[in-house]
Order: sequence, then structure tokens, then C-alpha cells
Amino acid sequence: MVDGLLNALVLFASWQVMLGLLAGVLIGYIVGALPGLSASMGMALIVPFTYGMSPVVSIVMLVTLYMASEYSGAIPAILCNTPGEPASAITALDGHPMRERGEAGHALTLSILGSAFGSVISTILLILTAGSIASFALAFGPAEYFALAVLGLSLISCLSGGSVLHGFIGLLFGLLLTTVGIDPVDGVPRYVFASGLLSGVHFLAALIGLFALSEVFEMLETSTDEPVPLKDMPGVSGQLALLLPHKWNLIRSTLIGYAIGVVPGAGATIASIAAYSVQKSLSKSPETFGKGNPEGVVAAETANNACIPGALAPMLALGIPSKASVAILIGALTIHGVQPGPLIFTKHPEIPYSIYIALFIGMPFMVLLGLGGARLWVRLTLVPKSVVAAIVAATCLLGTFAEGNDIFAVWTAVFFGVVGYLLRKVDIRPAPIVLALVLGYMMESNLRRAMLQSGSDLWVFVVNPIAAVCLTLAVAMLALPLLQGSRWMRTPRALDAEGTS
Amino acid sequence: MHPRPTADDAPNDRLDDGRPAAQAERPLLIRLELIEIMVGAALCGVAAWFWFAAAAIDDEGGPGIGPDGFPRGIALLLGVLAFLMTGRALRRLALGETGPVVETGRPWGVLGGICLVVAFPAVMQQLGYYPAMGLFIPALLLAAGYRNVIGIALYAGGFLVFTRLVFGLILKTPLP
Repeated sequence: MVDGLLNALVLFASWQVMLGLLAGVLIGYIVGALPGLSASMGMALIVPFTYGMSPVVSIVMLVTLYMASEYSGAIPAILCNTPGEPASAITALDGHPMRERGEAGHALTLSILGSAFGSVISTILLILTAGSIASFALAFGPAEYFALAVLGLSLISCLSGGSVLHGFIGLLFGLLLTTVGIDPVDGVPRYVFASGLLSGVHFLAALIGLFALSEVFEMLETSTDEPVPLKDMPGVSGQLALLLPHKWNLIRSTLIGYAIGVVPGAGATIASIAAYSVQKSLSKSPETFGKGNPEGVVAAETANNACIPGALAPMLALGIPSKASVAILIGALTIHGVQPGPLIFTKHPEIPYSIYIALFIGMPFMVLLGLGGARLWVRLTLVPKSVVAAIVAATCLLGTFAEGNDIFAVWTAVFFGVVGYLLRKVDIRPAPIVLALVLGYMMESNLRRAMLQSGSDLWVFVVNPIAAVCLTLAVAMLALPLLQGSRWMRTPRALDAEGTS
Repeated sequence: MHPRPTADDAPNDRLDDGRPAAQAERPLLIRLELIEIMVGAALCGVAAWFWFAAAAIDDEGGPGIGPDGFPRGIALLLGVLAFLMTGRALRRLALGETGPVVETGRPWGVLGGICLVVAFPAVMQQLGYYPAMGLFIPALLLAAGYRNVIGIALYAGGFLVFTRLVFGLILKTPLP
């Protein structure tokens, strides 16, 4: 292993590799910060430019682009409540309220430092455990995936803020929306009353509508108010010190992010939700989550970046793409005649070791860009709300259209913007709906496959140890609010009033 | 990218008597129960539609859960919970309990903003992206209460230039 790392390190002495690394970080930073442009889309756009490059330059550029875009999705999430990447929706829950308190600089600093910590430690874990942990992912069948999805959905009690009843209404509404489109098992169309719905409700458009456009409408209510005054931003040493109180949160969220990243299909969003929920349950002030608690920002950002090296483990060890972005990486390597899988460590050792080194070397550049950029980004908070509302709305509409050159996606975003705004009025928040949109397909398809395989025997979820553990945890998560009192039946505003009194 | 707020901004955001312009519009106050009843009824309607429309889904009747089974189950649960929310709000109204009030600031500005966003895709289809966005940003800025004419021109022009550079020239995204 040491020989492999040293040999790959020599490759990084070439200016082409370093240029590829810098370009990847910079492009990823921009792609992630623009709502509507996802990491996978940015990577897909760059792949054609890598044809003429060597495989190492190509993979270094794509991996660093992937890493940087996962981080920078937090920037619009914190500043405008507009997640640049789906996983950043969880960061927005506390990051945006922090920005409204004038603490945008702190939130941005915590997000970049948390991302860096998660990514570096997770890369070390990747180097040490790539082979053994990837085989764990292979143990997942339909029953395990269904149980994992249920466990993810059970975290609703952490995302719904006040009333769990309202959280569940949002969750069920989101689950119902995932049933629109081609059925995942039988392939028959369901609820397709417009051709644009054949492939289901457009996820990115729904995300942008629910989080960003509905936020724009809320901004219009107070758009003539003075901007929130900016609080002092600490120097670089002060910025680093901000992370010290969060050390256990960082370690926990990194481990959660890495472990979830390894599971194909789970992804950064679930990692963020899981880390956020765990941190909330362990926090001394859980009631402040969703209202600007820095612990929430650290947990979400650390986990979603720790997820990246985790997602690379099954790719390197087994040749399995755990998510769309990794599938593009595999495609790019295949173009260069490199087949990821068990033989990559013997046939092309320079590739996996270059990925490890790129993740390490790319991180300091990303931190510099992030810390320096935070000082510039916070100036945006001084722009009048009316201007922010107009620019965010325009960016959302443009980004939604540009993602697939699809006007139907724009209509979808507009629809969800209006619906999301109305639902906010009764305290049904967007997070549970988005959680359901992420997990609904995984839940239904694996439930039905598991039932098919077991001949409709429900015991398949009990006799299977991974599924049984996940489902037990899910039941415990759901039962917790019931044991805490009647949060189910009270309105969030009533709960807020109680908290105030 | 964004011009710094100028000294001209502040006076334009105020009424003639010096009060902030926000005070020009009285906020819309509605009891939470009334909105809960409306939203709850709408969600019951959505659940009912999903339940009944599931009858049109082709189900060949094999083993396991059919393609209509999962949506029907979820629709049933949503219907029950939405009904619960509506019923609870009706009960509070019937008992005359004093509930919280939902406040919507600048209701006409918000309504104008919603209308502009809803109209944008249709206008873009008719006029093309650049003219539609060229109209949309100034109109939304005005609906948001921004009155600095130079600022409006700069923001709209800057955004169109940004679009042209990033999406037109670099990403080569075909915009209508």
C-alpha cells in the first residue's frame, strides 16, 4: 500500500495533474453553489473534456469536482435557503436561521471546516477499509434496503420541528408523490396525466420549489425590511477555533457519513439526515435545532462530505456505482480503458491511490477557497431582501430549466413553490416532503421486491438481522415522541408558545 | 455581481412621512384553524384522488404487492391524518377557543410575486428566455418594493449577462 501511495504521489509532481486538481476544485465549487446544477451534472459536463487527458488527470479532476460541489452546495443553502445540492437541504435547516441572525460567516465557516474534517477522516477510513467494508454493502438485499428506507423516514420526528402530526402529513404527501410515474417493479404508468410525469415528479424541481421558491414568497412578506446587520467575523485562527466545541459531533457524523456512503443508493442526503438526527437526540439543546443551532450545520455538512469517500469504496473494490456521480466516474474510467473492481489495485494501482491523494491534496485548496469565499459571500447578506428574492427566484427558474432543458420541470418547481408556501402557513415544513421524495422510491421498490421474493411472507423483515435492527430502531424513533408527551396532537405554534412561556 | 446598496435605496424604501414602506400595506391576518381546514380539506382531496385513480392502474394480480397497493396505502394514511388535522381545527372553532393567528406581511406584494413566478414559464415559452427574464426580474423587484431604477437595470442586466456567459457560452445550455 505504501509503495502504491508513493508511486501515485510522484504523479502529482506533474503540472497537468495539479492543474486538473485545481480546475476540479474550482469548477466543483461553482457548480455546487449554483442551485440546479448538481455534482453529477457538473461531472457529466466535464467528462467530454477529459477524453484527451491521461486517466490520472481525468479522475483527479472529476473526484475533486465531486468533493468541492458537495461542500459548496451549503453556500446557497445557508445564504438563501436554496440547497445547491440535495444533501444541503439539511444544512439549510439551521444554516439559514443562523444567517437570519446575522451569523452567516459562522455558518459558512462551520460548513467548510466540518466538510474538510469529514472528508479527510473519511478518506483515511477509505484507505484502511475499502475492501472489507465494500463486501458489507453486498449483503444488502431488498429487505435490508426497505428497512433502511423506513429507518430514514422514521427520522421525521427530528425534522418536523414542532408537531409530529404535521411532519407525518408532509411525509405522506411526499411519499404519495413518489408513486407518480412508471411503477418500479411492474413498469406500468401510474397517475401520469401529463407526459412530463412519465419519469415521475422531477426531484430537483420539487426541491427547488419547496425550499427556494416558497422561501422567496416568504421573503416578499418582509422584503422592505432593513437587512440583518452582520456580526463580526473572526480571523482565520478564530475561524478554526469555532470547530473545537464540536469535536465529538464531527467524529460521530464522519463515521455515520462514511458508513452510509458505502451502502449503494443511500447517498449524502440520508447521511446528513442521520447525522443531524443523532446530533439532535444527543444535544443539550435539541429544541433549538431548526432554529439556527450550529451543531446541526456541523453534523449535516460533515456527514455529507464524509459520504464521498464512503461512496468510492464499492466503486474501487467491486466496480459498483453507489450513486449517479460515482457512475459517471466509472464511465470516465471506462472511457480510458480502466475497469474499476477488484483487479484495479493490481492492474491500475495508480488510479485508486491517485484518488486517495487527490482527496487529501484537494481538501486544503477547498478549505482556502471556502474560508476566503465565506468573507465575500457574507457581504451578500447586506444586499436588500427585495433584491435577494428577485435574484434567487431568477436563479431557481433558470437552474431548473437548464438542468434538463425541460419547461415541464419549471412548471413543477413553480407548483411546488406555491404548495410549499401554503404548507408553511400551517407549519408543514419542506424537509419531511423532501425526505419522502428521496426515500419513497427506494422504500416501495424494495418492499415489493422483498415481498415477491419471500412469497408475501412478512417474516423476511424479522429473520433478516440487518433489516430487523433497522426496523427496531425505526419503531424506537417513532415511539420516542409519543413517550415524550402528546407532541403528535399539538400545533407547532402552540408548542412554540409553550417554549416561550 | 450585486451593486452595493446605495444611499438612494433607503429613502425610496420609505413612505413620504418617513415610515418604512412595509407599513404601507396592512398584513393579512387569518386564524390558523381556517388555514388548517382549507389545507386539510385539500390534502383529503389529494388523498381521495390518489385512492380512486389507483383503480385505473394495470394490475395483473401476481404475488406480492401490486402497483396500486402502495399508493393506496399511503393515500389512506394521508387521508386519515389530514382529516384529523381538519377535525381538530373544526373542534377548536366550534368550542370558540382562541387560536393563534397567521400573519402574512405585504399580501399584495406576495400575491404579485406568486403571479409573476407562475406566469414566467408561459411567458418564456412565448417570448424566449432572455426577454422573459428581462421582464421578470424588474417586475419582481418592483413587487418586492424595490424602487431604485438604476439598481433594477443593473440587477436585471447583470443577471442576463451572467446567464449568457455561464449557461450560453461555457455550459452551452440551449435556452429558448
